[in-house]
Amino acid sequence: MSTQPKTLCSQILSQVNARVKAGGPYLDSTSFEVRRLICEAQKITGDAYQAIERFITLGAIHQICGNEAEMRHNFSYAAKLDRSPRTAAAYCGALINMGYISEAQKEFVKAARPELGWLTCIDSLGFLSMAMTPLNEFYADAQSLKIADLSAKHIEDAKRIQKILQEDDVTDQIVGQMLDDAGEILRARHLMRCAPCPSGYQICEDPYDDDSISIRWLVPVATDTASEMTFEYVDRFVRRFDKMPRCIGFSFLGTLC
Amino acid sequence: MSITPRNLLDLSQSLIGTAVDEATVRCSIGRSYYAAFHLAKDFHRSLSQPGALPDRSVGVHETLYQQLENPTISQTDPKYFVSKKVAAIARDLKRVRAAADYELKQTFSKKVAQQAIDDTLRLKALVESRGGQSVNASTSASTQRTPPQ
Repeated sequence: MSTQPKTLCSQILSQVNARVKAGGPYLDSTSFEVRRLICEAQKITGDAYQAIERFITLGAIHQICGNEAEMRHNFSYAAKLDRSPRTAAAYCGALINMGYISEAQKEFVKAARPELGWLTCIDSLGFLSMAMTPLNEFYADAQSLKIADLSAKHIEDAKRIQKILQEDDVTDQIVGQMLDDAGEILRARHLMRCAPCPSGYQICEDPYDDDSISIRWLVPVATDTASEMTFEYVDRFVRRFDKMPRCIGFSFLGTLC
Repeated sequence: MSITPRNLLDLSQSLIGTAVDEATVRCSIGRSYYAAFHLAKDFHRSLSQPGALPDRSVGVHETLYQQLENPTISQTDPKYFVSKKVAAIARDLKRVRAAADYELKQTFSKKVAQQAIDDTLRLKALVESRGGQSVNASTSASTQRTPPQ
C-alpha cells in the first residue's frame, strides 16, 4: 500500500503546528524560517480550492508571528471563497492560539454543527474556547442523528462543565471574556502558549466544596514569570467582574524551571 | 512554639529541592496551599471589618474566600481589590491542592509544585505590601464569625 503524498499546504501546516505545539515567543516575520514558509505558501496556486489552501496557510504562518492583521486578512479571504467548516475551524484554531477566545467561540459554532461532518475532529476547539452551550447542543444533535463517533468522556465532561457553570450563573460569554484577558497578557508578551496536554481544562472535585473548573495555560517561561502573568490576569479579573465567577479559575503554568 | 506561613513555604521548597518522587511533589503542593490559606486568613483579619458571609453553608476555606471576594470596606480602600485578588489566587491554589490530594491518577510534576510556591510567594508579597500584617489582630476583623463546618 502506498502512502498518499502530502500536499504542500499540509507540509507547511505541519511545520506551523509544531511551532504552535511548542509555544514560545512569536517568530520574527523577517526571519529566514518565516520567509521560507511564506515563500512556500505562495507556491500554492491553481484553482479556487488551492487559493483557499494558500490563504489558510498564510493565515496560520502569520499567526505564529503574532501578526494579527495579516492573520485575519488571509482567513477573511479564505472565508470569502469557502463556506465549508474547514476554513472556520482553521480560523477558530488560530484565534484560540492568539488568545481571542470570544471570537473563537463564534467560529466554533460555524464549523462544528454535526450535520457539516466535522464535529468529531474539532470538538476539542469547543473545549479550548469553552463554547460549552453549543458544544452540548451539537453533541445532543449528533447523538440523536447517529452521525458522529464521539468520545464518551468528552460528552460527559461537556455536560459536567456546563452544569457547573450554570449553577454559578456563568455563561460561555463570561468565560470567553476571562480567557480574552489571558490572551491579551500573552500577546502583550509576544508569547504563544504550549498546546494543551492532555486538555486545557480540569474538572476539580473537592469533597468539602462545590465542583469547579480549572483552566491552566502552559507557557514556556519560568514559573516565576508565569506567576507574574497569573497575578496580572487576576488583577484584570477582579476589576472586570463585580460578581466574580467562583466555579472557574484560570492561571498560567510555567514549563521552565 | 508557633510557625508562620513562611515556614510552610520553606518546607514546600525543601521538599522539592532534590530529586523527588511524585508523592513528595504532592505534599509540597499541599504545604504551599496551606501557606496561602493562612496568608489569606491573616489578611482578612487585618481588614477593618470582615467581608460579607456567604448566603449558604460552605466549607471553612470557601467561607473565607467568599468573605474576601465580598469585602465590606470602601472601594476606595486600597485593600478592597487586594482582598478580591487574594480570594481568586488562594481559591485557584486550592483547586491544585485538591487535585494533588485526591486525584491519584493524575500526574503532578515538580513544575506544578514550583508554580504553587511562586504563586504563594507572590501572594505573600501582595498582602504584605498592602499592610496586611500591620493591623493589630485585637482591633481587626475576625474570621471567628465564620460558621463552623
